[in-house]
Amino acid sequence: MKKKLLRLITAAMAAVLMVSVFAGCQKKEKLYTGDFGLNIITINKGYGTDWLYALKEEFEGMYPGITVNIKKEVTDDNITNKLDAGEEYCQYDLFFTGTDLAKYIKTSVSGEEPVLAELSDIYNNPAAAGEKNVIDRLDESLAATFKIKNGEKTEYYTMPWTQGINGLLYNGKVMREKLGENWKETYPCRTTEEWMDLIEALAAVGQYAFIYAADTQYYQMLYNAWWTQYEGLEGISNYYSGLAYDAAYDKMTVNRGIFQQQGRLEAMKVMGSIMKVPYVYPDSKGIDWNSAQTYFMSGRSAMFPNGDWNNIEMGKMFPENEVQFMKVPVVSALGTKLGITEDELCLAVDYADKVLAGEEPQKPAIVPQEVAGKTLTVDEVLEAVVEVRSVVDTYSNYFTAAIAAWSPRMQYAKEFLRLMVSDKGQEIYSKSVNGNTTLPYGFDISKTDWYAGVSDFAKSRFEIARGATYYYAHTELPLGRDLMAFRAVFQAPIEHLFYGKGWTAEQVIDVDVTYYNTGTNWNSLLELAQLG
Amino acid sequence: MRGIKKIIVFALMLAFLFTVAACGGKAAKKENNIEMVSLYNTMTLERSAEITGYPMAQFAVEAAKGETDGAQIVICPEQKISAYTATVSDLTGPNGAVISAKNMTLYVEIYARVVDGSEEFPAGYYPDALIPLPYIENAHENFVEAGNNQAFWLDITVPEDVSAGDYTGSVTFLFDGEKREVPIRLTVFDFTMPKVTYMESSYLIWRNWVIQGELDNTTEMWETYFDFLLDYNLVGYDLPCEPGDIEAYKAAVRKYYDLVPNYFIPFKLAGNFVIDYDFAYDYLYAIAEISLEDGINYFDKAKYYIHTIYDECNHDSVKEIRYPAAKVVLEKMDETEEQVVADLIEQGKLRSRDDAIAAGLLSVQHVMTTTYIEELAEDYGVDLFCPGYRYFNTTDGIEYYRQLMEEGIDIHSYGAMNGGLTGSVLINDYTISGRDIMWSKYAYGVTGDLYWNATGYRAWWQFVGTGYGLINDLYTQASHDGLSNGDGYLLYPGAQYGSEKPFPSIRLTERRDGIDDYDYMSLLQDRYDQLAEEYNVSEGFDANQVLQPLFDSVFSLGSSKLNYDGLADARRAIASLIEMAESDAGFVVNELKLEKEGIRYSLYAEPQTKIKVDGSWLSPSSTGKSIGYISYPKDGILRIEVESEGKTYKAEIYVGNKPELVNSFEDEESIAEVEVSARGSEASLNTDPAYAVSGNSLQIKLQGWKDPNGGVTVFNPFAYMPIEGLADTAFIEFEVYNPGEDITVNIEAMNQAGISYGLDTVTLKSGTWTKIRLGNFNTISTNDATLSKITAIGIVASKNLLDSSGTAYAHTLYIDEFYRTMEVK
Repeated sequence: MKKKLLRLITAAMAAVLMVSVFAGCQKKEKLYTGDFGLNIITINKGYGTDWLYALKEEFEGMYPGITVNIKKEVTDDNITNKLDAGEEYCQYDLFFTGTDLAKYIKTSVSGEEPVLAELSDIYNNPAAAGEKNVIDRLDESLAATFKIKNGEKTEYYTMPWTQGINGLLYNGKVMREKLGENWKETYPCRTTEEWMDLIEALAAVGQYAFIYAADTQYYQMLYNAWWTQYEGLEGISNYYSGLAYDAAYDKMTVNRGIFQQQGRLEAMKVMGSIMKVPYVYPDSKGIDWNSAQTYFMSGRSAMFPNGDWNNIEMGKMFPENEVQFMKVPVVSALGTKLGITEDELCLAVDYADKVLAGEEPQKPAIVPQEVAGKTLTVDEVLEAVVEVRSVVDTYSNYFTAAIAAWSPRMQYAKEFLRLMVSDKGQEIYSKSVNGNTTLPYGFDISKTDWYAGVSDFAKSRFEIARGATYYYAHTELPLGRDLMAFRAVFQAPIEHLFYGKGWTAEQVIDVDVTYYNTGTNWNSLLELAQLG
Repeated sequence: MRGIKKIIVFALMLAFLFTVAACGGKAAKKENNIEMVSLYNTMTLERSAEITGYPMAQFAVEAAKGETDGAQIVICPEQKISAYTATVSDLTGPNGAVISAKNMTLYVEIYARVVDGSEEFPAGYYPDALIPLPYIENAHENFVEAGNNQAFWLDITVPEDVSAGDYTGSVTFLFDGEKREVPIRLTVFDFTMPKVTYMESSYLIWRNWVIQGELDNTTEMWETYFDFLLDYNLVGYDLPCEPGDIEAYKAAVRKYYDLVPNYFIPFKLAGNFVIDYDFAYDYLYAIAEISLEDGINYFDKAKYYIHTIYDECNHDSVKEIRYPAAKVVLEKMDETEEQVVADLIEQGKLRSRDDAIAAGLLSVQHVMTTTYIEELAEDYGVDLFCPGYRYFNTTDGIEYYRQLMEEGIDIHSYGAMNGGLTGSVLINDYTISGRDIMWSKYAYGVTGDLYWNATGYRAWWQFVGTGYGLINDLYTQASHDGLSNGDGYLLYPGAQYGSEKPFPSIRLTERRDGIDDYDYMSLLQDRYDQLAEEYNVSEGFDANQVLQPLFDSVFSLGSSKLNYDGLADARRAIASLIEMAESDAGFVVNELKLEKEGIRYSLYAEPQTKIKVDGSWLSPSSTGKSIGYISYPKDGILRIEVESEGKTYKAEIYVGNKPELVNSFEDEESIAEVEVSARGSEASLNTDPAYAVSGNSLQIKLQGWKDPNGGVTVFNPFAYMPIEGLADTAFIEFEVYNPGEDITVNIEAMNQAGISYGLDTVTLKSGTWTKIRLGNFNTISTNDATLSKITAIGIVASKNLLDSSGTAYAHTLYIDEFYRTMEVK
């Protein structure tokens, strides 16, 4: 009896203790359960998650006993709210996101409330023996956004998990049927003027060149490329730093002149010239994104700007498709800026394409003329064209991986990332998606034994990806978070402004000029950017 | 083994004891430490914001008779509050007067999630929806997580028939059974609010979007929404009755005519940018009929707002189609009006076009939501324009519209996606600016307010082919457009909480209270105008000039000064002045002019009224007139006391500090640090007294420049005068003389890094001195550290100085009397 009573008392106290600990005191317990799994949460941004499972398999093989648990999400909110929840309530170690993590980086750098772990040791070392340091394998134009200044030090908190290539797709079947087998030779599309010939030829045979959906803004990918081609990467950097030449000071200063960058207008002019009645699928104004993408695949338009996820998303529905990437034509106005003719610009583009393909071509015979009191050398012109020919619009600055600062499995999370960015990991990654995408760490998939079997789409994409330099909204620069490429987007996507609303390029640009010259809007922007 | 068991049992007993003690079981219940503070009713705090340092919790309200005003408190419990409730007591006041608790509503503030925040208002949870406590209790949402803020809002509607004076009562909260009492202190001013607001308004109730929140699209629900907005001093776009139901419309006009400052005549589209004029005829005829039947000219509050065609019809993006369409509508509506009048005359219902009702019908105003368009005004008779409020952020913009008002044009204004310091409609923002905008509208003569949607219960940025997207949670998802947090809706649906009415938002109450403030100022002006006439001093009298010091403490160039105390003080001062004016003393401040050395005033009252200014009694005047000049009071507050018929009235008017001289540009040293633009601009000392206010002045030559290579398109010559920071600066002012042609300049502030901020745009008239006066420095930053880095104030030509042939020229200006007024500490 005594024993039984003792047992009862013991059981009762234990029960109270358990209930109190796990449900009482109004204090939640950490969700870490003590198992030895590496917990990953990932976004599916059209690239699928096969690549992550392929890396998981490799990783688990490398580290027996460790299980990689993957949680898939389709909205960024569902990932960032895990970071918002903080150490107490977040069970994930490694995050693959599709959104801006600047605010987490900021608190992590300041040390106020670290959310993300520093990844500098990954960047500043080889991912595998015999390889270059990771940072040196990223193109500088992309690496810039991941370099976070902390006093004198440069730190890293995120790293890209895809080499996003956004650009111009074409439907090869439509081109062949409408313009003949040799359409590429007939319409080389090196510059926007040459490209217009193609567009007009399509219109002449009743084929719409373009299609869009009124609720998306993918044509901005083309605008971004042309803008960057004209202004150069430095011009884009100046824009997001608020810097423009001020003749009244006779130097670069932070001023509203950024909105009058000539490249913005030139890019808009091209956009205005293509978004016209004979070239655009007439029902574009009323269709949604899925319809636009599907209609393009089925041939209702010959071209369509999109990201490299296109064939990962659409490949199953259209297995026989002949969609490929076309290099975004170089904005013809660049020739005027460089002091060369349109024909000379075409020759310079040919030269650039060969250089980017690893060849050592002969320099074309071009004779630059004086512009604004200065005459460029042939080398300077060619160098400029080579630089801009490789520019692609990308979301890789948003498609980033990060580790929670509080992760108890920090080392394994880092090892996972190291695997991902190593040559081995990069090959696993690309192979798992049939070469349709790559990582931006310089691995050459064309040298693998499986490359010959990848689709023409994948090959066309890789031709652009190899040696790419990048345009993106530079969130690391002062105005990068708060300054839009153009404010007229508040009224409608760029394609719809031109086709749906009949705007001119000047009108689109004028929206920014007027807005930032009105009241104190410019001050608000500077305040947001904490400039000054 | 037995020993081990004993040890385990002992350990469990110990753990048990600790657990019970720590968890606060019934035997040793630990009191929840709940921090409770007051918050301005013009401010919101994020859910996790620190609240320590705010004043002790109380609901303190000041309101006139017939006015509804509110106050809020915030609590933050150390432990979770699992359930709370509250009861509101009656208020007792002078001589045992009672204001019943039925006149009060206690709201729970609902926190909306802001995903994309700003530097100042980062992502988080901000209060907006106000839901009466019983609905929250019914929904079992009456709990507060440990460490979270929870705000409560108390609205008090002051009955018109109560005595003025101070009332007290309390709100008794029970937090998990723990009782906390929060005092209510109400001061009732001794005047009554007008039945109809002075300010006109038009706020869209988008009926087709209401349904998502209310699951009810009936006329009855529309009417509920219309009435609800009216309780908040706002008029819905259309009277709530089915389009085409003329009899219902007649009834609605009769019902609402005495309750609204304006109402709208509906229109019907008959095609793309074409309206149905037969439809318009029927409505005009109907209004004329009831006007004749009732002997009331119902047209005097009627307006047209053909928004589908008028909205920004002069904007480049739409003007090709909409602008000509607008002109057609204006023409055809004129014809329709003429036809109605002609028919009524033919039918013998009107004698002639000169009848008041005919005249009213023929002069119904069109609300033209555009900037001023001369052609529409002169050729089409449009006399009411409604530009965006952003045009009132510069001296030039304000002056432009002031001149139009003088020419007889009425001006309303609208806002959409406004944020920051000018009429914010956003949830994570300076709440006070949504109220302050009504002060600047009053000061600038803007008589109406238009907002594009109070019921945006859809995700209208997500066009999904067949319509717009849905909002996941209408109460807690701050952004309905994917771009801003709060634009497009000011109401919350009641249905999900079982309410037959919608719920207000904090942003809506800001507008209500701002319009009440507007009415205070209008009441004062009306009373002052009457008294000025009685005292025979109406010539040149300008009530706004008297109110200027109060305006200065609330806003500058249309931007809020974010002066929470200052707003309350200014409102109280106006209430006091109304009480004084309405008293037997008939007291009027006829002039109140803040000068460099002191304050010039002239006061009028009934003869023998005793008046005390800044602590000194003035000699009673047989005429009641007192004129004087006093130094700036040390605390920046001018105190006026008036005694009449045994009663004493007091007013405290904020006048600020005395201005301090920064630079009078008397010698070479004083201009040595003036910086001018490259390429030919110059600064020099002017000794010609013709170009100085006194002594010498600064002469600047702004030199235009033409880029010989044609590459530079932006070149604005400038001259910057040094200043040691702008932190704690209330105002700066200086005089500029322009001897040449009119020239438009921007006034900018530059920091030590060479970054310039725009503050104002002013056109300097030829041959005159212009006073530049600026106080909108928080448009640069609200951070003193940033303002302290400002090193210069500049005059910058608004454009390059090139003549019609493209040749550069110079423009000379003279600057003098550079003063700065510091904030009162």
